[in-house]
Amino acid sequence: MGNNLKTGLVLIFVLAAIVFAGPLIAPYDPFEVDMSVRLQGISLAHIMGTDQLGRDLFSRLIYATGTSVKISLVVVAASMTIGFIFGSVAAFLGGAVDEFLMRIIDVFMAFPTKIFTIAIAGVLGASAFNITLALIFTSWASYARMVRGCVLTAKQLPFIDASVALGANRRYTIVKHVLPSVFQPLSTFAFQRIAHTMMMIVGLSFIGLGVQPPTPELGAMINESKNFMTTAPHLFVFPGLLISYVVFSFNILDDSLRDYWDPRIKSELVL
Amino acid sequence: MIKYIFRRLIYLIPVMIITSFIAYMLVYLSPSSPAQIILKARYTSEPTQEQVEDFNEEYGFDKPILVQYTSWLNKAMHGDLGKSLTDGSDVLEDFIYSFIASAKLYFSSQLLALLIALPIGVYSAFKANSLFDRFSRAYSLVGISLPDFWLGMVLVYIFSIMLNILPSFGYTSPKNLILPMLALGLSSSFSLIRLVRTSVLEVLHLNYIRTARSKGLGEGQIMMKHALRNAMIPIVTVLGIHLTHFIGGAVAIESMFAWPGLGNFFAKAASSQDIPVIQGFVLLSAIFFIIANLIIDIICKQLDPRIDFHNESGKNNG
Amino acid sequence: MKKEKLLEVEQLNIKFTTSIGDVNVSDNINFTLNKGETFCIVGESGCGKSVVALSLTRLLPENAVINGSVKFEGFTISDLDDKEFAKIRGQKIATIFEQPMSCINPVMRIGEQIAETYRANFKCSKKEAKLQALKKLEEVKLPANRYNAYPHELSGGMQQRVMIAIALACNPQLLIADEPTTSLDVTVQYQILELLQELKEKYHMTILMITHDMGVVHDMADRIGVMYAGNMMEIAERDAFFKQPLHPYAQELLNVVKDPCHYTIPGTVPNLMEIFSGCPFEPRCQKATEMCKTYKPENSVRDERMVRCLNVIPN
Repeated sequence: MGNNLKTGLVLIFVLAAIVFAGPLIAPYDPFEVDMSVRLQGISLAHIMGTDQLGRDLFSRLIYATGTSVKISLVVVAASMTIGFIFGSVAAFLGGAVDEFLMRIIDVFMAFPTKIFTIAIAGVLGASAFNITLALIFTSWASYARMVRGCVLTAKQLPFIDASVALGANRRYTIVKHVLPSVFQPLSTFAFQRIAHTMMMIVGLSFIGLGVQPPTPELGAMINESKNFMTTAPHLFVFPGLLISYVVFSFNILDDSLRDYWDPRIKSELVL
Repeated sequence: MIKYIFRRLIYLIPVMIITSFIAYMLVYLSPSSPAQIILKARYTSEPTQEQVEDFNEEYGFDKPILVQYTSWLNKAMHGDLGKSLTDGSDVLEDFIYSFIASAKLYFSSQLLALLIALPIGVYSAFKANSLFDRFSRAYSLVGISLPDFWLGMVLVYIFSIMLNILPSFGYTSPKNLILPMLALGLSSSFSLIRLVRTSVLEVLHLNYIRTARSKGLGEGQIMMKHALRNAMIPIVTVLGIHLTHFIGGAVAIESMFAWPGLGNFFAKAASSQDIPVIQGFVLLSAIFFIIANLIIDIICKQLDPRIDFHNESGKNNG
Repeated sequence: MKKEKLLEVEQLNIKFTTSIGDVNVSDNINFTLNKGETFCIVGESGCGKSVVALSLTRLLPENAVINGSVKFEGFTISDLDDKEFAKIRGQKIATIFEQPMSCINPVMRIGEQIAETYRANFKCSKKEAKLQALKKLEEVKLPANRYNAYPHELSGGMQQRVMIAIALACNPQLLIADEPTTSLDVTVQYQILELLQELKEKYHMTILMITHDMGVVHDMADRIGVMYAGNMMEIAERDAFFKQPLHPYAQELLNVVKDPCHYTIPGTVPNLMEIFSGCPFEPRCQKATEMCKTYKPENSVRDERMVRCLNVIPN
């Protein structure tokens, strides 16, 4: 096991602790307004300072990370499921059904995801729920196309024909052998998408189309901090660092897992 | 070749009809009608029934959807995409204006990214696993984890607030371009370094590089004439995919620096439910996107003689 | 008749360092090439033939550690630094490889690839290089209008002709041919070998050919080297070799050729990560004795013949 993989696993473990045990760690209520301590710097009472409403930044960041990460996970899990269903149905049924589903997938793919997401988020109204919907709506197609490709390739593998020739039921064989062969590329792909989805969410929240204040979310918090850049730079520095931390953890783990599975392309030894 | 381009352009038509139809329908997903939103913004109070009806009649929203759609499509074919509901400006003109703004930002920043990434990535691949390579890989891995808008804010903090030498927003003077270009260029360069490195590294292991060496070529010649040319094929393809950034990808940077580009403009239209603008932008961006992909394919064909247009039916057939 | 030596290889040791240990692919190999002859190195796949050949022009991957001395025209080239060595490649020693498709640049016109070799080694104008390239195309019997073709537009045999034209662009003294016909159809193989023979005579070239095909050896070789598991087991003149191979491994190889449908050498080629205490062929050898397990055979040489076996002495 490479160093990168270890580093990645440790980072992800810490992240999981922040996301799921966060409320236990957070010293303050993230919504508690205290105007007497607004825009304070780092102190013993508030280890990362306070924001424009005197809320504890550290507590808010813990909740915010949870929000961003959970939305990413939901988006990825949902698009993966939808993509899997669409892709495998298209590949298994083939013919006119495949043709029809592929046209739909084409349309979704032929379009810049961000524009589409912005349009949907804008039209539906900005909220955490709507941004999740919009992201699922725009990202499932790439999963579907990938699954379809995998199934089609796996269907043609010689051992499928071989086991049918040996008397196995064709449909049973395909379900038993083809579907598992889709899971590894699919999960690798989905894993890669987590970091990317996270970037989309914070980006959209940053421009005001995602999660709305006062709900703590990393991108939205950076957006709020814009007006206080001169006086309270910690308000944008900390959330940004946290986003980088999350994305970095997923990226390094993704990188090292790919090395682990495919030792031909060595990119080990980064750190 | 010409036949191929023609076929690809034909392929545009159904895609455009479907995307434009989806874009059109999109608006009806909204829980509140456009009339309510626009009028509320206009009069800063809940509009009366009468105002809503007048509004709907004026913009044709009282007709059945399909009628509205076909008449819109008909006008769109003649270059008339209607007028913005919020400020009455012409949608096509707005699009062209923001298109130019986006183009300035996009091309300058991508050029910067290439200038940074090509030498670093190539050298990194060339000296794989050296200290330089490890450093550049760590650098790019950290880099791709930074959100572009946050990078922009850090730059603003350093150059506008602390040093006070560059403007933090605006569009009028060339100085305004520097910070957004830096932010976008830097943040694109990180992933580009990785891409250049892997592409070159992959090529360097191929047999014809060994042949080039056996011919007595110097390492520099091998790099320039044999490795880079082949490595450019995946790089150009990905740069082409990055063209989507041109349309909407830079939206956070554009909004951060108040740059009047497509992303910024579109985000504003989307949040104020400016239907003609949304529909027009969706249609025009789809057209642009498909044409841009076509151009990239043609460039790839120039780089890679193995690509055969005749055996390739529409690109997206999977 | 005194033979002039072109290439002398002495005590050549090559190993690859990998993350799971060292792989020894060449164990104290000695051989010489005389001017104008064809020397064939033959052996099963995975015995280190190609590695030895590629090491002569330093075309191995970076994890290869090469020790030993290589003299070319009496001049020790193994001491040269990489920059000086590049001048020898192409101009003095050229190489052709198997799988021509992957060995020529897919995005460059074939004529340019031939001309490029010439220009890399001799200072000349582009026009001169093009003329030279056209001449070479003619020599390998490709029509001049193929100058502007891309590799994928040619058949495998034509690609190998291009490969040969590239290698011969500078009229090298030594041509290393690493399994040049392995990936080709049988009929095409014959044409390529004939072409090589013709060009060899025309330019008085020396050829070092790597192959696993005894038929090719029989048609082409003046002298033969038999390799097994990184060891050069036997070196002999062609006629003497086919009359009576001395090393048990060489005998087995010929047995296979005589009866390819029924006869196979028992066992498999050993993993080169093993360190052999005795003779590496001992486990598969029908003539092995107890001694073979513990003692490493040395080279025994008499006249033109060399054998590395404890039980055989060249007569």
